[in-house]
Amino acid sequence: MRDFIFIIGTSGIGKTTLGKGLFYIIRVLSLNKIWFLNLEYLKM
Amino acid sequence: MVPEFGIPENVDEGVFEEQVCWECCVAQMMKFHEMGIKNIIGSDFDDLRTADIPDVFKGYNYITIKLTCNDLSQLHNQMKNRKNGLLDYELQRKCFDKINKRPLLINEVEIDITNKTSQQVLDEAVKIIDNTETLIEYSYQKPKKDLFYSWVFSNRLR
Repeated sequence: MRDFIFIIGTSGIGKTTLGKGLFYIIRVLSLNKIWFLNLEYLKM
Repeated sequence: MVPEFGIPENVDEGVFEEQVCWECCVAQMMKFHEMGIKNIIGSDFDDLRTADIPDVFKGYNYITIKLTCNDLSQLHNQMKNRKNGLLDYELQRKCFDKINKRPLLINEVEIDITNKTSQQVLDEAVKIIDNTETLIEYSYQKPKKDLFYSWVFSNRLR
């Protein structure tokens, strides 16, 4: 179990898809408590 | 997500906005951790902030998954076909160049998504998260800024 998991990569590479996938797996299997936190910036 | 906020006068708008967003999100992540929540996922911050992760999160059990791709046309198509989100191919290419070339930072692991499905990438990520040994204590010196991309104009990394 990790404290924090960061996902980086260029725009459109699949960061959100991966983040949501990880969230779904861990939540559905009820292995750990998890929170999907999308550091969504107000892009210029 | 950080709610909308006003920008004070006499500050660099981009620098201020990015700093508020980053610091609010770090505070939120730390609060979740303090409340006993684990596997807190952070993403979509300015690429330059990647260099701050080993400083800010030193002492925690964290891992950074760096997604790379060797096929710009694949990335182009992924962006073209996304349901929502930014459509900026120039930004995508510039950020792609910087991130692909940059050496790995502490506790950072690369997944090359070239010719892979989202399920394959997810399976690989789960294995990496579960099995990679990461460091809690280390010495760290920030890499040069020009190895990173930043959407903040005054950082001159666009």
